[in-house]
Amino acid sequence: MYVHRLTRYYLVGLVITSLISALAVGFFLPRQVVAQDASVTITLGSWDDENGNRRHLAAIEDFQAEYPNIHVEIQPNPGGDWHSRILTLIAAGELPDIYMVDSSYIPLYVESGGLVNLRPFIEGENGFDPEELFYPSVYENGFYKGDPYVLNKDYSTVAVYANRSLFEAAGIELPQEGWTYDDLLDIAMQLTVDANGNNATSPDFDPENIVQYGMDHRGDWWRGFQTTIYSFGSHTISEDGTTLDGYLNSPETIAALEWMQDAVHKYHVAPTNNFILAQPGGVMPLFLEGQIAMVFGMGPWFLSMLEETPGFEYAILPMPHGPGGHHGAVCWAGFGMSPTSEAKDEAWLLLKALATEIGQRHYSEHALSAMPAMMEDKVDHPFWSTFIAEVEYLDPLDDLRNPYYLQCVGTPAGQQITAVLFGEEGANIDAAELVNSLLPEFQQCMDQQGMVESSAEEASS
Amino acid sequence: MATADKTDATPALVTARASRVRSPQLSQSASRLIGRIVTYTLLTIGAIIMLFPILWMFTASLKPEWQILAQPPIWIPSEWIHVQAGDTAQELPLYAVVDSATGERQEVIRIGSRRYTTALEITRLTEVLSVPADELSATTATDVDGVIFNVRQWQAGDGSTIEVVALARDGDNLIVAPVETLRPISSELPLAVVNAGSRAEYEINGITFRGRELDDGRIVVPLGPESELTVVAPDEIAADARLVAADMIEQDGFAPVGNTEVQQYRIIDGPEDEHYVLLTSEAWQPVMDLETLKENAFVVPNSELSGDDSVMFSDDILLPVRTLERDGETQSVVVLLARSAQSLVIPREQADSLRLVPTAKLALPFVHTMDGFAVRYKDNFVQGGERKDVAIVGERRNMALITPLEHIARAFDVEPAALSPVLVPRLHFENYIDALSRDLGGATFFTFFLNSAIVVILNLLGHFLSVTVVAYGFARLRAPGKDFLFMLLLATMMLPFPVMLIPTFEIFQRLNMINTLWPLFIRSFFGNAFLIFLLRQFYTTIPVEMEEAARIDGASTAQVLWHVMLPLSKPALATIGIFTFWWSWNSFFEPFVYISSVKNFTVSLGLAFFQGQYTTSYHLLMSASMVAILPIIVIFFFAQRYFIEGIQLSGLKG
Amino acid sequence: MTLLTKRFARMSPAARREALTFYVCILPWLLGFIIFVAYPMFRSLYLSFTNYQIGRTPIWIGMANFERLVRDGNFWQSLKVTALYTLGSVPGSTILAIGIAMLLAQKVRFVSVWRTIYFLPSVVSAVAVAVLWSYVFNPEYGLINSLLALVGIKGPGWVTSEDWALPSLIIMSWWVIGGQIVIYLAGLKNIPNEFYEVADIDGAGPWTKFWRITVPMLSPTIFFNLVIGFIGALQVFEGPWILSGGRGGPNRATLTYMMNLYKQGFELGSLGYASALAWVLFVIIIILTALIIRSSSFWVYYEAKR
Repeated sequence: MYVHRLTRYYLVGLVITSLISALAVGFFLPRQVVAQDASVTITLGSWDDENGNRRHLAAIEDFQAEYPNIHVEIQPNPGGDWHSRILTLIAAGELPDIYMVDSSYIPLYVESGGLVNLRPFIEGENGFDPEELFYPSVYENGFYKGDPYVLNKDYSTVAVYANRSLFEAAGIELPQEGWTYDDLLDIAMQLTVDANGNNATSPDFDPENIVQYGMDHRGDWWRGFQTTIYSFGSHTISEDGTTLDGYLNSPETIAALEWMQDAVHKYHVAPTNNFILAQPGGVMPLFLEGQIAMVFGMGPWFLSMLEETPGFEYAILPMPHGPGGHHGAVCWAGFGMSPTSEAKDEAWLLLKALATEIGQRHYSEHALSAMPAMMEDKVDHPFWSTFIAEVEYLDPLDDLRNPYYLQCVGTPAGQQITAVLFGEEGANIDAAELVNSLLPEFQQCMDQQGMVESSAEEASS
Repeated sequence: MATADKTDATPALVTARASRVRSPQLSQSASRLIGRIVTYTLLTIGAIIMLFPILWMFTASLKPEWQILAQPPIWIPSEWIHVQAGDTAQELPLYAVVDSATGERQEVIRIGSRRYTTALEITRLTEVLSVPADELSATTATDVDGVIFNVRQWQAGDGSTIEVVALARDGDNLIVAPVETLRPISSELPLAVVNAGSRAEYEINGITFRGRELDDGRIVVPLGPESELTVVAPDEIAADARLVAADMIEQDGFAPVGNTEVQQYRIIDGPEDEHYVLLTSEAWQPVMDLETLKENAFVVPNSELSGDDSVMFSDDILLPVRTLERDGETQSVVVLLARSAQSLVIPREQADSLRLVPTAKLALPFVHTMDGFAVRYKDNFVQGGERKDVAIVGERRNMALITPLEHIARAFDVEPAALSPVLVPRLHFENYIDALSRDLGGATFFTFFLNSAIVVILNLLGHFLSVTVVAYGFARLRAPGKDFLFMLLLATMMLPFPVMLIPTFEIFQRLNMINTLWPLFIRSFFGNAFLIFLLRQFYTTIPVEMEEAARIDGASTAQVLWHVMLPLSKPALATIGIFTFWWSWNSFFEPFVYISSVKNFTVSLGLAFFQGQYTTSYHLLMSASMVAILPIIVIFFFAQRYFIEGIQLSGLKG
Repeated sequence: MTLLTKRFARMSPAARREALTFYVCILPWLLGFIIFVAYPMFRSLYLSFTNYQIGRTPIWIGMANFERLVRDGNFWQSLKVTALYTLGSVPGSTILAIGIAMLLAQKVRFVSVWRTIYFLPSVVSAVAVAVLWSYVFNPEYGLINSLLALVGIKGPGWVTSEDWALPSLIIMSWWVIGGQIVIYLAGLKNIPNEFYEVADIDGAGPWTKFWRITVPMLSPTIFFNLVIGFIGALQVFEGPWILSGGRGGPNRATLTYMMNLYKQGFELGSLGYASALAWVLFVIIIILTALIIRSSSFWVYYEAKR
């Protein structure tokens, strides 16, 4: 039925040719950027967007003016999930020589073998004295178990954005450093107004038809809420990073949660988390429209946006004092070095340059710098100065106490504790009960990873 | 569900005779017409639903950034009209207000606003009642002789109804007083005036009221409701606006406008009776063209500068003008930036482009390094229709934009809700140019398009080479184990992708292909289960006889494939082509995992550039997205006919 | 293997040559299968029995990952979410796609334009879609709630509400059906016109024709799309990931199976545990597909084999 002659050879030829043409070229073509002459290429991993990368490029240009033999290539990762990417690259041994690290992940990367201890470099022949150059409270956010792994690129403290026109119209003076959570609630009540023009202090106030909220909250952003917990006098995990019980459910933590829960559900001065989530552009458009008088616990990221809004008058207020005083958490980005880098000495030169003047000159334009010297023009700035003043109240993040804190506690706590208590259905939920019911699950999640580690050690010994 | 007789080649209905009475013939054309109308109506409704998001994207791509997320939504891309204030670099936003009486529309600028509340002079109140809250009706804002009260109805014990106003809460009770006792001792006061008073408490019948003690000694309790009045004026008043240093003016009382008033200012050291209204007060910054600075500015040691350091460039621009002696020549220079040892200066005659602009327009500056001096500059600064990079020099200074009070005669008061922005439709095509021409870390969108094209072409090549052959094997040839292998092929369509992610990554790493385009196309040379399946199904519909005829003529398998099967499978090949194009063009996850260098980015990956950590450039994202989907739309439009013919599933047997 | 050689021995030379040609033909796919499918699958099967933290070496721990999974609240939650999503998304999109395909199969003017319009939503980039849907579902100004307000209904909070977030995702999935429509259109084209002509002669109404001709003749296509649809829905990742900002919120209401898996593997770095999760999903998919295929003999109509 079938006539076969050269068929097989024909087909074999076709298939083999296509495979070989595909594969062979893959093996023999050079694919990595191989620098000509004697220069070295250092890769720089960045999660920044287009704007941020322009700053990297400018910094690299200045760096190369000084070190013409070191070529730097940016490996950007726009909009993507940077952390997952880093984990994948660690697994594959393909990390860029220098890469950006969010401080919350430092412990996990160190434990996974993704970061080099920088102490030998700092103390080495091309080293410098970080204590002299940096704010200690900022520098220490790059530490894990007593060693520096990451040097700061930039960071953000949080403060309170206030709509100055609403304050002025209501004749309320802008609060100064030293104000308290009670003051905050008091002001927020006066600035919360319903559709009839009655504010939250009035017996006629209608919480169902609020047109202007006195304040807001950061919803499910746990790192943001940590600032409030610290201010109420607690941390969320023991100092050695092992235990949540007695911290996450301490009376102070619960008091902090209940304060915000009451602000939302009892006094109605802040919208529910659902309301905030429903805003396509986040809370900032509402703030600009005068529907929220104070944006509570927000970083300086929106200063440029506000500055560009014509005719909008605003002020930046310090964070209020809680029963535990004035404390702050920090959003911190830095540069770390890959253990698989083949040119660690050159990589260090770049890392040092970016963390000190050459890089900071550029990065400090839109964020805070760990170098006080780089923020001279911001110290007198009406808005930046408040964020800078917060630096001295910083506590190292709880995230730095356990490699799995963020994934096992931070993110789920935001989702299942703050988002729920400050959410639509949060009015009748007992904060202590909720935290205690979730605590074992969080603890177990961290311990699972721990169990895994100890069993790994047993097996290897 | 209708089950058909599987042994029969036609559906059950064809053999079953209809026994129903047939409907009259005359309705047939009518029912066909109705059918058409229904079809088109449904198609149109569906199309609107399907098109809406694309339309939204398209309009968004033509909007300035702030309009995209505006609430309530602004549908037509527009521009907010601003008027220039005097001859300054400041522009004031225009609002429209419609006169409720005449219906006349007027364009105005805002010059101030005050908030009012109903305030009760508590010391003159003698009697209050404590009433259970559930005995009171809901509140109604009622105007009582010019003062607005939150009035509630109360059914008193004797059956009569009394109008009362709630003053405070007392547990489940409300403290109330009859409205007629309140009216003589209440008035509308500016909220700022009330809250400026010091806190004071006053007790009536054992109830403590928290109020404010005003400057004149009165103790008042703000009862609400609050209301606001905004003062606006025709935009001509902006023409006379001028800039003065903010510390040169001081507040000096209020000027009445309609039912409200506006803060007035005078210039310190100026005439007593000359008053101004304040339009804006903000920080202004000296700037100059970056190009001019790069060409003409230079660094000198401070020791070489001499001359009186109190001489300034101008009254407003406080940059010192010094004398520089060099090579025997004397030169007058403006000090742009001063450090402890040296300064960046520019010759006096080259400094014409120095000017003041509002600091607000200089957000997110960059840094240009010049002889060790970090010069901050704002890129693409727009002034007078021109785009330029401007260097930020000297110190910022608080400046007030003021206009003479005489203009107040034409000002009037409105409720804030009556104001709306003056928008003029304008399509911002420059978004497209901006998005496509930007340097995104060493590459532009053009590079991304090129990379995507390379990946797509190689994928097409790979699939055509492999899929056509593999599908033929599964469609026509018999061999032991074929059914098992076919099941295996189908099963690969069910694999969850993360299972294989890390091992696959390891493979490409061993092949030294990470951060190249190779992982994005190499696998297509090994076929694709779904496409092999599709083509195999199509092959089975080609009559075996045609192939046999070729065989009898002595054709080999390869010749049969080339001369018989492929020409007859054009629709299926088009289908494979479209699917391949669609997937590899849109693929985000794979490039995301394998590509690190910008120069190897694909379009879908490049789009994410406009999505930052905290902010998204929505207008650029949308315009780039529109360009990115264009190729697929075009290809689908022209190839869809073959696309649909190429899909053959009827021969499929589970 | 011996069975195979025995069969070869019994074959005629022509049949043997044909078999050889077959193997040569499928060689590219077979190679690709071994390198890019079989090997990764078996490696991940091995990993599922190990403790493999990213950056460490895998260590055999037997069934511990599977024991942990039974106690894991996120696992059960994600399974529930995925099941509900699949039950909502697949039937809805099937019905819509068939309806639209039937409309497009009519003799309408500018048919290529109509088809392109219905195909459009399937080509928009995910990044842009995310911005778009947050607008459509906005409780206050969103398109859906504005329309509901016109008829006097106060719409729910959609993506922001724990109860409505998942239904929002399901509605979103109904919109991206371009691929399905195309396949149904192809199926409709393959129904011989004579069937309808005969039915017309017999005086059958449109409804009868739909149930007695279209559905049976389309059933293989429906079957195919259902299988692909179920597999796709059980692995849903991108939509919920983007809409919830990668968090699966509010309060885990949109935490799908794949999202949980991805988080375990690529956020916590537990590749061993993630592999175990992946294999459990794979087994679930295999079982479900087998069930659908089994059931197909009851409702899928096949023409007599050629």
